[in-house]
Amino acid sequence: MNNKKTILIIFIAIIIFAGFGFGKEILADPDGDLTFSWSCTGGTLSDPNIAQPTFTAPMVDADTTYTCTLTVTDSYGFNATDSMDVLVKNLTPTLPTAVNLSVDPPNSNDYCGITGYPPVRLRWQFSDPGDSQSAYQIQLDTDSNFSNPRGCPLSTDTEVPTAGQAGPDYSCLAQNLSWNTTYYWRLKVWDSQDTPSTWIYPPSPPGSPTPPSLGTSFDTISHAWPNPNFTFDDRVYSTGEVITFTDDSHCYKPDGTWYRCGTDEYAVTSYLWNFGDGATSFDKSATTTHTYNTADDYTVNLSVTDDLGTCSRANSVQVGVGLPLPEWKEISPF
Amino acid sequence: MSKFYLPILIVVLAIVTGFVLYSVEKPKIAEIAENEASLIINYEETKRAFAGEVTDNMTILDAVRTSAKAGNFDFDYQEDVLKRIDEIEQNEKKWNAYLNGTEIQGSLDKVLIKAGDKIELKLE
Repeated sequence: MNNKKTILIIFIAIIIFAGFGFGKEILADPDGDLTFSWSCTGGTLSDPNIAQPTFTAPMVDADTTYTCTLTVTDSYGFNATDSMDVLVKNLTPTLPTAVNLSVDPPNSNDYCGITGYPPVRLRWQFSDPGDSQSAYQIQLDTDSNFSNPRGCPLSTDTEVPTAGQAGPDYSCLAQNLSWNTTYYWRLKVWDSQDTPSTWIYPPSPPGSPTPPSLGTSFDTISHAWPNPNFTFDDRVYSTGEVITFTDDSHCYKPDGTWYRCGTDEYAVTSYLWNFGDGATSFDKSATTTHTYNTADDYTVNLSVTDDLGTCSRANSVQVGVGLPLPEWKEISPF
Repeated sequence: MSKFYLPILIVVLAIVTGFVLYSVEKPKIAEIAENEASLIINYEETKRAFAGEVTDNMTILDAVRTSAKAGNFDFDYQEDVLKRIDEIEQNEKKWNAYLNGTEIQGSLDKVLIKAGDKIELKLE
């Protein structure tokens, strides 16, 4: 992308009045020499007293209409006046920018199932009327001077193409941050003409002592959210059969190690089993059991909550219809 | 008859009645019908037996299931392993399954049974 692209904008509209038509008619007046007097509500005229002056429009921020008036006088002092409107458009390619920079609070969509890094999602809205975003670059750093920045989503500090993604809302899930760390971030966007913005910082909160140019920092959480899991014998069960579910839910400590959530080794956790037949349980034991009375396919859902959040895991259990088993009876073993 | 013998007579009658009822309700394992199979659970000093008709595609695990219903016990079968019958969990000893005296290796829900088969679950 050409960062040095010249953005010198020319707002010149050259209007040549030779096509007015009436000027030629006046030039044909048989009463002798004619004098011309031009005036416009804005801009400049090369010579207001000739038949075909050049009009130079002023720089405008928005479309603006100017009115130019011509008065023609003959040697007897008779005159005629006419006027026309000249629309001057702003054809300046505006610089792209981004607004509403924000950091998502931890949420189950991003934080459940991710245990290797804090999955912080950064959001922004591309802003450039009539244009679209073609790329972005995010820098994240623990240093507010961005002396050693990393990128988003990965560590490489480079621009990321976004062509084909519908805007104007964009986000990036950082996959390279550390737990329990403060980060600063800034954003640069490119429009469809490859024109980059300047660095854009998230807004500082009102009254914040942080200089506005540094934006707002954010803190990552201290450890990963729970990762619920459970196993059971994968086969078709009969109605009335006791099904044993073995808990294999991992909860995490700040040092990165994990423990079975139900042991409460680091944080007090809570369990919610939903067996799919209306029955629930808060059992935190290593194993829990359940019996189904009706043949069907059930979805067993386990939600585990620790000190930071709640995540869920669902598995399907098949309780077969099959042919009814014959009724056996207990007999004497001797 | 003396009042002294009356309680003894009642006790003896009760024992005899109970034995008769037990014998009637619980046929002996050697007396099962030709279209039936049997299952014996054998652990420590306890032995329980079950028997019943064999249907098409019935497996050893099906026999355990229907026996559990008849004998009012539950069991835990996971990953091809019989881990528990009622409160008896395998620990140092394991629950092994035999069909007609041959130990079953693999899934109990894959082995079909037929009339006359003898299944035994032993904690050993």
